[in-house]
Amino acid sequence: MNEYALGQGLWEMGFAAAVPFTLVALSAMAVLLADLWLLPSQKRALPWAALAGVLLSAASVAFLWNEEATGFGGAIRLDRFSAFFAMVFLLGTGLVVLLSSAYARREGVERGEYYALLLFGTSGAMLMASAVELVTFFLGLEILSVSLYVLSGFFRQRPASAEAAAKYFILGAFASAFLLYGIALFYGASGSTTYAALRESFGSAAFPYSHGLLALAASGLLLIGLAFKLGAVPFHMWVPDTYEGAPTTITAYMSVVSKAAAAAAFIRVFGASLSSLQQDTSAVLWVLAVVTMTLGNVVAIAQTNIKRMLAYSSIAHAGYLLVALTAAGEAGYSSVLFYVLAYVFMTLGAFGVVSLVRKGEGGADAGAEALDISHYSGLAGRHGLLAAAMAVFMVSLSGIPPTAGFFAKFYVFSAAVRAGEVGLAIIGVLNSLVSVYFYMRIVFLMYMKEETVPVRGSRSRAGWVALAACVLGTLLLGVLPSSFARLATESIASIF
Amino acid sequence: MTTLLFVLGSIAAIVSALSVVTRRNPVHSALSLIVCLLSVALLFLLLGAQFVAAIQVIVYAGAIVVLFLFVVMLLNVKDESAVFHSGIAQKLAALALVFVILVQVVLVAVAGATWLGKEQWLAATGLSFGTVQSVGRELFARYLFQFEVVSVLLLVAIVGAVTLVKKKQ
Repeated sequence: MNEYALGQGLWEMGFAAAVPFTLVALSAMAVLLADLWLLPSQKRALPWAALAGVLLSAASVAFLWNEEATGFGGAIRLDRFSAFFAMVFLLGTGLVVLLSSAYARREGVERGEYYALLLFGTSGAMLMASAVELVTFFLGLEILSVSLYVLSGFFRQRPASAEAAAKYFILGAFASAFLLYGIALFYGASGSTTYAALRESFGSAAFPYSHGLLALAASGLLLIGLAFKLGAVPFHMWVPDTYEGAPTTITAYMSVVSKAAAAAAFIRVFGASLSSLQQDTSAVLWVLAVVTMTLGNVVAIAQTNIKRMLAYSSIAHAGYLLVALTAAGEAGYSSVLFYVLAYVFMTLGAFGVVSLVRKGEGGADAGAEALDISHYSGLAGRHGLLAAAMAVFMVSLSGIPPTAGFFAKFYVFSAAVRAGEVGLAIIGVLNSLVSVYFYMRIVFLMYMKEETVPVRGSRSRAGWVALAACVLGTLLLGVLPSSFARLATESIASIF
Repeated sequence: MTTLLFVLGSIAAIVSALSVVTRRNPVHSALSLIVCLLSVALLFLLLGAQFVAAIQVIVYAGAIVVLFLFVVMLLNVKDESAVFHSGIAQKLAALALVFVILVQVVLVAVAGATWLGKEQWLAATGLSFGTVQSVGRELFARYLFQFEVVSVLLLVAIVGAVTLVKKKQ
């Protein structure tokens, strides 16, 4: 067989669909192996090796951008939707790796496993977004989750980090059991685990259980598993403690990549395959969206630790995502995609600033992370650029133009109104008003107050590049949203 | 002969399963569980599902129950009432759970049979079900990709476990 025929054969088997995933997983293994050979003084090369893996995979996604392929007997699919989410995950991972290069060294966790697990987690997220079969989706979810359990406990000497990992692990294992139970019920009812079979069985009126108890029980169980990953109330108990105890860069990664992956899997399963159950799921999602937004925003007001505040803010943002998922339809789902992209820039940016700020000289714990909100008083006087970047992210998170957050919320709420969920949109807008208070408090502290505790910002060049990219992305999506919105709409159109 | 073996195997499975939950001594419970799992393995053999029967013995009766015994002996539990305090509410909850699962099993079996039609349902669970050939064919043909992806998951789990317990250099 000549080379061309071999390539052709592999192409027809749908290998292309698995290429971006495989490249990330392989570079994770390469990082693990490289760690063995590097001398301690050469460990600084690790983040660059991880970044090379991310770029390699992103290049493959870009190369396959206009292709469509279904691989391995309908396990994994490459289309614009997979490609969009793969790019979002790789973008998030790349920025986290840049932020980590200084943070991990200073905290003494610069080890090969750190970057390898980050890449493995990304490969799991990519699998979740491109899977078109329930077992593949579940494996992706588990690869992502197991990586995150370990990464959130990476500060082994600190009780808070151990607590973060233990809580996340136990509750996560519980949520996985629910999810698996739902998958088993779907398999039992339809005799297949592919999304195509789900659509065929549950979409057909002849199927005796298409609207019965079995379908509702199975989708309910699946929904619990995904709502846990999304951090939606009442499955949010782990979020504040895990976000607070985990290394800050990992918290950033968790809030961006794992939320986006859950949203992607949700759209593929419930949006594209179980659309016949949409009325039932929307009724449940409506309630979840309202309680998630409200609890997240109200409790965030009372926080004094900035990571906890951002954790509750991320719960609130999961609520906005749920508004879009309730609205469903192409408009609702494409607003999810836009939201996820905007969320990557603004949340990673906010956590990035937190990871770069430390307590300065003079205190007993100089060099420790400055995590109290009061530490941000007067930051503008000492570190004007850091404070300006943080202000941009806070403005964007609260949804004020001209930033990405404004258009993200605008698309979500207008999709809700178009879907007839006017009440939900009004509750969402009221919630954004509440959130302005605690986001703007930080801006107020940074610019209007005197410094209380001396803090200093990191000079890590990689960290600054990542922050600059986040600011640029936040502003670009806020000034020129239409081309990105078109991208989101095209991606959604590829799966319906 | 088959009927006789089936009746004997089922009785052994039910009796030992009951004894798992009624014994006070946890070691006796674990040993009864082995008997129960072995009798279920016998039932699988009668169905011609040799692979499932072998896995049942190796994984469940072997590895998992031995793990149970290890834990019981390490903790040195003499009487389960020292560890568990089961009230009437717990017993009712357990009964309810058993009932729900039983209903589900029946429902799923009936649903599958009516939707796919009797012949297809039997074909799906027909003579070759649970043999080494059929499991192997499914695993290395239809679920090849998933099978390979499991290796990534296992690698992540191993790396994670070592990372969390390794001594600091």
